[in-house]
Amino acid sequence: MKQKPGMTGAVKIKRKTEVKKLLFVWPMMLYPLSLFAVFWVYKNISSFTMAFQSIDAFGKTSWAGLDNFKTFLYDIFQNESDTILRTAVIRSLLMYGVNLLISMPLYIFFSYAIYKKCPGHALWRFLMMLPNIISAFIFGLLFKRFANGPIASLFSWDTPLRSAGTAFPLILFYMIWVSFGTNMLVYSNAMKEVDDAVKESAKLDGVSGMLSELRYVLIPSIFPTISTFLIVGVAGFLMQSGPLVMFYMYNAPGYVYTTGYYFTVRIFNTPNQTGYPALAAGGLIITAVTVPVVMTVRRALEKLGPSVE
Amino acid sequence: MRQAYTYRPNGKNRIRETGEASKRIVLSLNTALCAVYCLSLMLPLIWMLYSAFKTNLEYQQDIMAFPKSLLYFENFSVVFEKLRIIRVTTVGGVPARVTYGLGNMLVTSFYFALAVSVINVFFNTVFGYILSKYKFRGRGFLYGLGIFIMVVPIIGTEAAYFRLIQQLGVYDNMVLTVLSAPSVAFSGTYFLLMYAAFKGLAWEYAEAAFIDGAGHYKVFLRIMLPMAMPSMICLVTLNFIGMWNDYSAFLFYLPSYANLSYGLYIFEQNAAQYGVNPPVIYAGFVIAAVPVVGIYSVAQKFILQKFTVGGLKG
Repeated sequence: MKQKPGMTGAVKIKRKTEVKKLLFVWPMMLYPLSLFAVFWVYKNISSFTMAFQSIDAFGKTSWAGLDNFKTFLYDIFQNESDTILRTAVIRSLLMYGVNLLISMPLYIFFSYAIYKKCPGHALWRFLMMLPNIISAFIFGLLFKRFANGPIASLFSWDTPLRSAGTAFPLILFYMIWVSFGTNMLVYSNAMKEVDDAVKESAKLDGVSGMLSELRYVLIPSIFPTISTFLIVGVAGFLMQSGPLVMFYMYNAPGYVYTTGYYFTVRIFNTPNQTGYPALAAGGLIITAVTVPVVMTVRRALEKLGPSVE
Repeated sequence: MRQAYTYRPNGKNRIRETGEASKRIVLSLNTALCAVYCLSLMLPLIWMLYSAFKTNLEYQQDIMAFPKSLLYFENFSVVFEKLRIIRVTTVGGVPARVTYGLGNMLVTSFYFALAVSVINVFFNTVFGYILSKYKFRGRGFLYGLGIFIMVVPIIGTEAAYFRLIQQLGVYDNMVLTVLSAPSVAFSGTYFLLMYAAFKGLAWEYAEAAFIDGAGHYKVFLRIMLPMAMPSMICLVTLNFIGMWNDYSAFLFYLPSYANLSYGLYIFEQNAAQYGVNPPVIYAGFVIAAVPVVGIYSVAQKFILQKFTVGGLKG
């Protein structure tokens, strides 16, 4: 083979090594990247274009301009005869708020107990994972029957999951109740991985009580994990259906709707696709509102988050 | 370190850290709360378990009471007999009804859960390995894109997705549904976990193998993959359990198929139509729960130790 002028043996070997590396890297990623191109890139482009189209009962599409956006905004802000979408947005915000203010501190509190190897820690850890293991749907359906049975008779409620005053609080309770397993596991494992040197130097600096250990050593050390969950939570809260499909299939009362459930019902429980473009437009509007919020939260957490120093 | 000196007339003086008492109080409070919470989780499960052994009459008389006998297996036989799911499919363009019994549903659950979890975790592992250990053009972009997908919500695309899978023939096709599962294998918790697992593994083993003449595939399959096996087992188990319990894929995307979770979901929703009473439903739940509890008990060591997620920075 003719050698290129100026190309030394070392360069040749380096290039050969590089080619071998790339012949491993790209073929290994080819299949999932192809799936990504179709099921993520194309899907999103298609959803974007759908937002500006209308679809008739036979599936034929035509240009609709901004009509779908108008319909969605009207349903959120002005439609007094059908307030379901407005309720859904409010309920989703409530779900996230409850998760942030109640669940997150409890996750850390319980994780700390497990990390500190409190009496029976191995058993608690096993039991807390049960809702993730025995299936959310079994827990969900059991909860439904328990709420409509023993709990209803205890508080003299009549079908509490179908009453405006009790249904949503019970759903919130259920979501908190079953959510500890994975979170507790992640946080307690993250606490375990905190460098011993950090803990020792904190002790020398006078950090002795448990709460101060949590505040000054553990929370700052596991803050990357906490912020990951906070950011992903902000990003996903408007897409969550909660346990509504499980409790009600497609027939949930309007006062418990969340945005995720609203989209699910409108897509899977309609005979044709005529409503799809309004949903795609709605998705774009919500995305446009949520993205800056997510970015701000991320930046704020990076800048204002606690440090172990 | 702050310390307190306690004088005792009997001469057994002691020095202790000042935070010790508060530590004990917080830990006791924490333990008590853990116990109450775990009890609340156990209560409905225990109720389900013993209710599965009650006759309908016993259940109606007092839904909280224990059964007269724990050897009453009639409810389980009723599940085997009556749990039938009829789904409609098209054979050669003609609509046809398919009936799933408990055995078929168990088999479907097993194969679906196994195939999806293996393919998903394998590709998450591939990306975790490549993005943490190799430097190449596009690496930073792929990692950034994965994080972007995680943190930037693109909402309302379900309609487009539903249309797309119908156009591609993935809708109601079990094999294609499984094969299309790892479409964002470089994003999400599983990817982050595998990325962190490989990041923590020394590269010296691979370098030694390269010197001995091994290629990249051999190094990945024979050296690095076995070292990351505990993390993979943790993820396969969790994913398997998740898929075993998933009824929504069968409700939304696979209308000709039924797994056990979907079957029990329909069974519970339409109990009156099936002519079954609550103890029979609970017997069905017990049947569905036993395999995953078994799997979890075996693999819990890996799951409890290896499930760690770090930050979003690369």
